[in-house]
Amino acid sequence: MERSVNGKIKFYRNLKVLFYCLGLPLFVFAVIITMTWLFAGEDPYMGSGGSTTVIWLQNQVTGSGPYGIWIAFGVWLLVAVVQVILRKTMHNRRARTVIVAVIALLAMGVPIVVMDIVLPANLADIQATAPEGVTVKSYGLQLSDLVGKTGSPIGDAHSFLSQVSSVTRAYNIGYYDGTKSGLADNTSNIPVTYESLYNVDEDGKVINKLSEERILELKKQYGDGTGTDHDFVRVPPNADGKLEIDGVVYENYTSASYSPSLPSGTTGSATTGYKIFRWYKTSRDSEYKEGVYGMASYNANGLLSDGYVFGIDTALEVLRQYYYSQMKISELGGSDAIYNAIYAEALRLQEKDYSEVGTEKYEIWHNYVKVGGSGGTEEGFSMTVGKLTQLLNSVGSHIGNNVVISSLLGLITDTFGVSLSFPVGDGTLSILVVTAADVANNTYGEGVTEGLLIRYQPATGDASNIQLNGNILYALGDLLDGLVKSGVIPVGTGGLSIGAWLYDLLSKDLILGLNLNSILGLFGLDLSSLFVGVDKTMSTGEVLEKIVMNLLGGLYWYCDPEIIPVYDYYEEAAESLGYDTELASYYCMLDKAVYNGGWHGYMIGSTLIPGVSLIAGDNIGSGMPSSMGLGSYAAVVQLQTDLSYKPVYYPLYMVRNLLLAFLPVVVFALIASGIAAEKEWLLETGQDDTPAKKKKAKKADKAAAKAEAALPAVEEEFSKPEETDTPVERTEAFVEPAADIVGEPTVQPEAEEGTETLAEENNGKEVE
Amino acid sequence: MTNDIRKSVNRKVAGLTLLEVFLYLVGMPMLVVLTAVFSVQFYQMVPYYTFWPFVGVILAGVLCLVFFIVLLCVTRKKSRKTIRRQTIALIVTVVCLTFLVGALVDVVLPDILSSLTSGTLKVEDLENNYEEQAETNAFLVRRFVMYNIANGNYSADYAYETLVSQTDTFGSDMFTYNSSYLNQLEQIISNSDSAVQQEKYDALIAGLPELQQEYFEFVYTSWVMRDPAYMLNSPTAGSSIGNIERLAVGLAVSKATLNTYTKLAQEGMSNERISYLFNKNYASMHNDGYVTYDDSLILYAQSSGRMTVPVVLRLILDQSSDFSEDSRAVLDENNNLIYPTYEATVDGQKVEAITSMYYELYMADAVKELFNDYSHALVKVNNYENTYYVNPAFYEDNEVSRVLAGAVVVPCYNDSDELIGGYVSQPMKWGILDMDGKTMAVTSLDMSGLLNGALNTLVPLLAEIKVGDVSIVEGLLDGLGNVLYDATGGRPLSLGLCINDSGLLEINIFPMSVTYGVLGYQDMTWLQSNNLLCAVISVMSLRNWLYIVGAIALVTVFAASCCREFKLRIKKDAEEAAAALEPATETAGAAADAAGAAPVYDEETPVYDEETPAYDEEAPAYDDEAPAADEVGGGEYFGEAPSGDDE
Repeated sequence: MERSVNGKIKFYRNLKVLFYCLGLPLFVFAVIITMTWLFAGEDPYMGSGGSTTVIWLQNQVTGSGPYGIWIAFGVWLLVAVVQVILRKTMHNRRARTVIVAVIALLAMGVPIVVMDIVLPANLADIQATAPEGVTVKSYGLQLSDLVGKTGSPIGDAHSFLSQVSSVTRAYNIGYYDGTKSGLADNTSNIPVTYESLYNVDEDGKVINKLSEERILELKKQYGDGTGTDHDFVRVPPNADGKLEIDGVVYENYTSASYSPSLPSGTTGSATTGYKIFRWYKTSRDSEYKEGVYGMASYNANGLLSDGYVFGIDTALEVLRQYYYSQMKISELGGSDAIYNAIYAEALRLQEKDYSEVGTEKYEIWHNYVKVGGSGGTEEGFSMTVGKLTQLLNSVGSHIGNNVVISSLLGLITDTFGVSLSFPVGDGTLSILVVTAADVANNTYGEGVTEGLLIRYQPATGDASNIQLNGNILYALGDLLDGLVKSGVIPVGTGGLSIGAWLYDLLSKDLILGLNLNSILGLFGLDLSSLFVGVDKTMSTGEVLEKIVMNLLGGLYWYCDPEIIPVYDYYEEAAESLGYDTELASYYCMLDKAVYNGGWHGYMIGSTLIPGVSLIAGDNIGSGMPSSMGLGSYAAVVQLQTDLSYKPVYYPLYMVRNLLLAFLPVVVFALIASGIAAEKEWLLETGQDDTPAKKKKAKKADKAAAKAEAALPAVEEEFSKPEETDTPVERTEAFVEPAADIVGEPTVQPEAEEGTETLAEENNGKEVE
Repeated sequence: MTNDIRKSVNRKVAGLTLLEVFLYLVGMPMLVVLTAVFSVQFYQMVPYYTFWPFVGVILAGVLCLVFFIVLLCVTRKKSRKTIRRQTIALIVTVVCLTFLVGALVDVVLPDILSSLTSGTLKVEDLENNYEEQAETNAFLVRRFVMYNIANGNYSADYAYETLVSQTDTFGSDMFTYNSSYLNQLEQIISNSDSAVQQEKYDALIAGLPELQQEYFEFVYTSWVMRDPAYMLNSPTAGSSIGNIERLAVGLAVSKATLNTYTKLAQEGMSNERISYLFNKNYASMHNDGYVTYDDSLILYAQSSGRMTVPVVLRLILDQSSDFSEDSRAVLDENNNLIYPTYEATVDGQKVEAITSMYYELYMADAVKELFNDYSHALVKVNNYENTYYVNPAFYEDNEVSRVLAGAVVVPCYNDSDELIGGYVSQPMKWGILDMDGKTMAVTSLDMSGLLNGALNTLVPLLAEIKVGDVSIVEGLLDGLGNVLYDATGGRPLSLGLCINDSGLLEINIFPMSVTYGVLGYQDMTWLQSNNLLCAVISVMSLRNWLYIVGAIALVTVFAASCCREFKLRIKKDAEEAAAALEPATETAGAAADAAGAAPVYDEETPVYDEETPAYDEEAPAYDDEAPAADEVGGGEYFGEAPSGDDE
């Protein structure tokens, strides 16, 4: 008999556990599995920041992806807490089961109701505030389409990820942005020199500049002992970490210390650690802050810093502004003529703004020399005309003075007697080597230096000298103009230089209303960017210089982090010219987007706006065809809108669907588990009086009789006190604990309040 | 208890004790043994890193020691825990010492490794590939050694230029080696079958000592093929293995250098000169090189898809700042040399007289030219032996190619007291390709198809025609190099041009790092913390064993516990049997049987205690049956008293 009861106890115990597991644990498991399937490890659903393993794990937990898990665990926790409280406070098992089931029903039902009320309202708001053309599916449809149910399981959740992934891949950007913040975020943020130190007073005037004598003293004081002048400030920071010289604290500077390990001597392998201080201008540092494209790394002038790589939000905002500004410009009647006028005036205003002597702006502008000059910060970070001239001179000098080239020419002309002069048109083209004696004797005219010379001597007029040096472009221009003039190049330029004539040709109707540029455009070529800044009055040399600079400018340019860009003067310029300032503001938005998304994007291999230069070409990202990107305003704002809510809403949809599906299952399972637990307890305490089947009853009677017979022996063997411990009378079930001592021990539970009577009554009836 | 029974019991107990000890020994100690196998091999590759390759073994030893301490504590005689509880404690200990430590390594090591190597080496590279990485790291040192032997930085006697210049000197080692290899190669190409030629050539190379093979491969690729005297040599007529004169020179150089290279490969960084060169030249490369590029652009250069043309141009052309700021040494009024030094307060103490970031390089032709043509600009300094100063008052930068005013020169002479070159110390500007340290292949042309094969004849001819002392090719390449030198603000690059062994014209751009005797910056950084990397690699070798041995140790610990249980049961059975056989104690024994086994155990406790320290704890558990049985369901392995009674 006792074995049968034990079996029943085990059965109900297992049943209790089984039903419990089929309820909330299964629900939580289902949520985890679904979350893993749909959201785990996907960028839109992860937290941001950091790159270490620990932070990656942290991001997984802090993102929106596990929202469903938290809700599911919350429900479970709530129900479990209620169970514990009820266990301590309520002794009626049946009532406990019912209350737990009701709590579970509420715990699971309330989130569904809340979501069904709040989320549709929010979606309606999103739709209402979204730009025109954006579609937001209805709440019901979004719930249904989250996961596919007919055929493929791919639903909106996967499609959303796929779209995000294709955009980030096409533009070669991350979901989250990245930057090398601080000093190294701008390539031109090099250490400051003593000469460039200053403070600014309340009126914006520069003060506390160091005298030349003091600078020399400081260089010596903090130099390397050799008397070699070191330009960079090496003064250690004061106690407050500030730069202080002669009692004056220079506020706008940040120190950086470097601790190189240097050899201790001229022999031996010993090294010594050492600390060097350098100072940087704080206002040339970037700052991660809110700006025109949302949170990003910006320079003081509001443009993105050199070290910034777009995240998807920033990239989309740049693209949105790019497309939106074009739409608005078109809507407000913008034209090239208006733009050119505004641009020219803005340049003037910008220069004027920085021209007041003694102001900080003047100081900054003074260090930044405009294109065409020499020296200054710009030349150190871009190809200015001065730098190009210097480079070409160097190349010409090395090649011209190369002993092998000179010898080879000498070998050809002297040894083999081959003349390197050719009749071209009515003149003569000669290849010559200019020697030091030729220069001294001025054999080939002014400006001709040592090295290789290509000389064209027309029948009449001055000769054109082409040398591989800084003058090469002008010399080449002169030669081309000379050849046109002499008829060697049979082109009617209408009095224009050949360079200006080519520029004119680009915009001249050639056939069917198409100009040269539009014809080339059919083949994917746009030469207009090469002729920016060219006008019809220019000589060919000047045009060539512009073309080369435009070409090189597409590869190697400079943008000062402090100087306010010319776009920010557009509105003021429009106002002074009497144009619509709103239109000017959209030109500003467009040009800013072109710089940040086009130029900056091209440099970092994440081109957002294609075709900003001939070299950048019609590509996006790091060389993908532009057709792979978001080609319209509507596409951009749609994705922006999707990103604004889907990363949070989709995990909620997921858990809402599962809450609904598991609601009856969980409630049933909790009730069933409660009943099984109750049954188990009744059996354990011998209170179960469920009528047994006849055969089983007979068997049970026999077993009971045997147990009765065995009882004395058992009683002899084991101590008596156990009997007195039991709170209930000895029944046939009561033999179980005694007989079970050797086998499976069962601790006799104390009778709960109200159960003594229950044992006497039918357990199936209502308690109390 | 009879003697027979006692002996039998003792035999069994002794056997089980031996088995128990064996099981403990094949568990955690295996971790030390298995890790040591790799570490010893690794140590043989990098003997100069002393204990660093053994860090994994040390860690394994510590884990093993912890395990045995826990074992001794848990199973001590006075312990009040049951064997079952002791076993659980030991199993938890093993799990913590193996799986948890392994998991910890997986979580912590990636970030440590990343910071140690500036993100250039990932745990993924090591996880299941530590043996290869160990070889790579060991090879780093050897590469550095090879670079500095070939460029003469280690010793002018073994500089490539010095050795090659002796090729035609009858009686010299180089002459002998070159002739010998030339003969062997001639014999090889005398065979008309190209496959046989290749096979025999491969056999010749394979027959060389391993280190000679290594040096030959390096010197042939990086020096011989860039030597204007050999680079445009077409494959020898009838040869399918390349130009045999060129190959013979490479082989001869590698042979002449073998003894020195073998010695240095063993000494590695423990060699004073090698260590000095590394510290001095790495300081220059880091402070006047890497720091120069420590901005967003170097970040882009390291990222896939961001090394754009504008980034490359900026890296090459942008203005930059370095530490030395082009500072030069000076002479005082007594012709004493004063190196640039800095004064600074470091941790409250004044630091003085530190040599600046001068870079040291052996130069042969430049120093000879300097002493021949610019002797008026050289001042012998008083405070250093055999040292000359290039006086800026009479000399301008680069009057002799790549030698700056203010440079410090230590000339080298051969046995005949002829000047053969010298060590030049001066500030250095490092190019971005030096940071990378890799050659960029531009193109590879099959000239046989160009100009009806005329180029096949013309190009090698260019190397033969000389203008003055230099060949046309050398002159043109020098000119181009000078243009690049100016364009990059004194950061030289070289254009490589050679006809390879297959007869193809190869054009490439290579940094000066091989000539300068430095590896790429990443490798130099690895080399600087190579001892730590060795430790990480050693730990990574442990990591896999942690999981495998951890699982084995769990089984062995469990099995050892079973042995203890068996011993306990055997003893108990023996005691019972003995008690049954003792007539004098029959009555007491029967009473004891009726009351339970505990009193018997109590009587026998001293005996059991000797072998089974936990036995004492068993008895109370046995007495208190219900709680003991309740502790763990499966009591059969743990020999709970009730089960014993049933039996």
